[in-house]
Amino acid sequence: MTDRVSWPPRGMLFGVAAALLLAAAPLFLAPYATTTLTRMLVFGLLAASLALLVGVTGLPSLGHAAYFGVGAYAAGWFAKNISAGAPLSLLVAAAAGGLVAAATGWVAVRARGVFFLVLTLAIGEIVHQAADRWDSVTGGSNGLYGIPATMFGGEPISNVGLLYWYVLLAFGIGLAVLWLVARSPYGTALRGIHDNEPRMRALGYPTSLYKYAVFVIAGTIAGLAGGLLATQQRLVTPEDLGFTTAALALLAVIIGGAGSLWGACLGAALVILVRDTLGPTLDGHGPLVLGLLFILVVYLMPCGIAGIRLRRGQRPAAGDSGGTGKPAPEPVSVGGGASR
Amino acid sequence: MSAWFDANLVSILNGAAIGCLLFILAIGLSLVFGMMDVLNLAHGAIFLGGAYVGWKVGGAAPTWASFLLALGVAVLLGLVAGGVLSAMTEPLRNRSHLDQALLTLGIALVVAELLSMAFGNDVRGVNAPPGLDGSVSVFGNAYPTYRLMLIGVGAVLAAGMWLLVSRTMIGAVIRGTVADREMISAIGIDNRKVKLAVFAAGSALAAVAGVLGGPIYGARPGLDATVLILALVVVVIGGLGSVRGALVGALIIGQIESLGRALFADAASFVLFGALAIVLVLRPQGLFAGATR
Amino acid sequence: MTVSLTCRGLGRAFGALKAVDQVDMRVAPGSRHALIGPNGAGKTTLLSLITGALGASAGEVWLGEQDITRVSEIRRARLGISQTMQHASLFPSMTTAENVMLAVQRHHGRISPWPRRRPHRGRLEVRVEDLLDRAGLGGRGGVGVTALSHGERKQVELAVALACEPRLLLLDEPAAGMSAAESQRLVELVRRLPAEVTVLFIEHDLDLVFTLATDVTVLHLGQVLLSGSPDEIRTSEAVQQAYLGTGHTEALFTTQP
Repeated sequence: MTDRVSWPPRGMLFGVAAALLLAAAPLFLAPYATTTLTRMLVFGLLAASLALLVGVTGLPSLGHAAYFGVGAYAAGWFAKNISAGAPLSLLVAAAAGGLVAAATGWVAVRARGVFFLVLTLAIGEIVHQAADRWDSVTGGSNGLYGIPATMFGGEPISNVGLLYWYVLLAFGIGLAVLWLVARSPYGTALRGIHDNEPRMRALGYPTSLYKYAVFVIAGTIAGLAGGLLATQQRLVTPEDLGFTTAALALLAVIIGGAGSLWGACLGAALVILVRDTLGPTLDGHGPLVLGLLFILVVYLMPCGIAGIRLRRGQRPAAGDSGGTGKPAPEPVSVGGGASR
Repeated sequence: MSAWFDANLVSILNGAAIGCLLFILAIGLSLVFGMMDVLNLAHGAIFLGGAYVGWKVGGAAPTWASFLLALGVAVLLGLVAGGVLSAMTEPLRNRSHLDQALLTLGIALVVAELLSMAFGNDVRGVNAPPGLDGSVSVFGNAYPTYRLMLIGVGAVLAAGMWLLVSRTMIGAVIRGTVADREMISAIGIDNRKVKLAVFAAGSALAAVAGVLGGPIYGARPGLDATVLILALVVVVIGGLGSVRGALVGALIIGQIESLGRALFADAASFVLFGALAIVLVLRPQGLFAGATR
Repeated sequence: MTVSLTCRGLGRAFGALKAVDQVDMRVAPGSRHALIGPNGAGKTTLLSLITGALGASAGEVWLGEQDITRVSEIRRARLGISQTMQHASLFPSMTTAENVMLAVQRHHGRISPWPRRRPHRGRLEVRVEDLLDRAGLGGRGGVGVTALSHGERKQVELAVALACEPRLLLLDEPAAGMSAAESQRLVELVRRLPAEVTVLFIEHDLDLVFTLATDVTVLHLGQVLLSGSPDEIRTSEAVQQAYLGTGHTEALFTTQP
């Protein structure tokens, strides 16, 4: 959890330290490592936006990559055909992600429990098919290539370090938005929906509307992350909004211990690290490893990294009803409130 | 009207054939879903396994003997696969839908990857068995005999399933479990055995659908995801655990897949989602929710 | 502003079972109205029809001068209907204070998607503290609700319900599972409620009913058996029979008036 308990001094220090470290990274990292780190940021933002849905609100989406991909295509197409000026394509990407989420989300959030899983899966698959077939805009199965480098002050950002800082800035803004939402009264209400939706309705909260809004917010940030992908890769393929991407994002969220934004970012970093270092040696059998990982994670890590950390920290306090403690987190499983 | 009908007759028949195939596939998914509350995302992988069995055992140009042998092998493999799935999901009984979905998803990814390692990335086309590989004239249009037979098989199976569910003791257990799982275990029927049986039977049907679908779809990587999505849409439209719902849903989706593609070409994906959206807005639990027959 | 509650021909069927059948009931403004009856009489179902958690299959519900039969549960809550559930229904991942805060912020705060500013948050936190004190949970705000005793959870429920400053408060067996001391505190709390709050409560403890209630309605097999003052109920033979069958008239109500 991001965290309601320990935020003020320790969390703040941790956050500032992480930000400084990230900002300084290109100064002492090799270009290749910087590029990997950039990819981690892009994917981390996607995972964090998904964590807002899955972990905070209890909406386990299997199709979140759709909005990521829509953002990526929108940014790429915009940069290619209209303008490659610095923040414009990112804004277009976020808007596109948000719009598509707004168009598809209402049906999804009305569905309960397992229907939500099926619907988001279907949405993701349909958007994927659309990307694969709409040749004139998306370039079909070849993907959208030849995206120009982002221009800043009349110069293209081609230096790996500069590109990294540009992505880091956008990542920071996106993550800040997610963090503020999660910490706001609205975020508290979202956690209430996760815990006990019928009770929230009885209290007079329009829960469907709230879920729709968070779906659109998460879609917007996923779109922004997609825009960053297009900026960095300068190539977008249907694979980027395919099911594998959605599954990887979900894996990152779960490894990170659903409900925690920073955990999702760490999970994403891990997933990218594994994919990029193991990927070439796997000879195209990535899905096999991914599948095995899913099976292992579900059996062995029902609470993810953050869950393990929390549980360990909790043990002395468990059962102690005296003043200090948070509740010992129940062994809430990954999807939490989504069940029945 | 009749000109339109004439022009699209082949598409309509194709839709019916696809619908029957989808019904065979979706009925198992729907029952596992409705009775056991488990979203089995490995269902498509089992279909694909069946399709490869059809190609490997039956051969690209099967004889009747090899075709039937392939069906038999598929049934056996499906039963085993269902048993394994049932056992693997058992520890997650009290976990969320997402956990169960992720587990079966992991299994699906592994199985699909193993299949593509074993059989390569080419499309493995399969012919219909002799006697069914020709075409017959339907209202003046030449139409593949095999697909007509598939419609017949689907109809027979649908009737059989309906009788099974509405008229037999097994059906009573099935209906009871969909309505209230705790109640069924309270009257002394072992929930785990019911789950095992439903998983095994559903998976066997999926594998059979894979063999039967061979002459239409062939066997290729990625087919598992395609049919899984279609089957899921069928189940959602029809309502969980409903035989009638699965049939109606499958026929609707079959038509959208075939006639929809013929009429709207690339927009068919959106038609599919549109149909799903409309049904869910009007009937959030599906067309035949609660009605198990 | 006090408000009355009126049910006219209200009914709800589950398949062939008429859980609530043709119920006519009027809860007077500012009254403390008890709803009693044997298990399975349809009391909780009737409460759900009033809150809107269940839709009525027949009849009407009026809140004061407004027909709310077709009004959603969410809108009804915003019209001033609050409830506590028979089995405490809380937010298990949160602390006691956070549980109450969810209700307080819905009633007082704007639910903005950015963090609250300090002075505003302070006011809401004071309000939460105040509610916890009133419910007898002073100093327990930081405890996770899963660590609370059963009785305490029901007190949290009450604090949550009161946080919305209801005009109509519905309590489903508020004292069930409470210790004698806790239930005494509950009685005090309900007594101290502002007179303009209308209260309708289900309770099996008849001592408590006759201590608190100004009016009583007896429900039996989904139908209203009798409505009247506590004294009328106490002396009614029909009520005795519904509870115990014939021939046990003297055993039921032990409290002396």
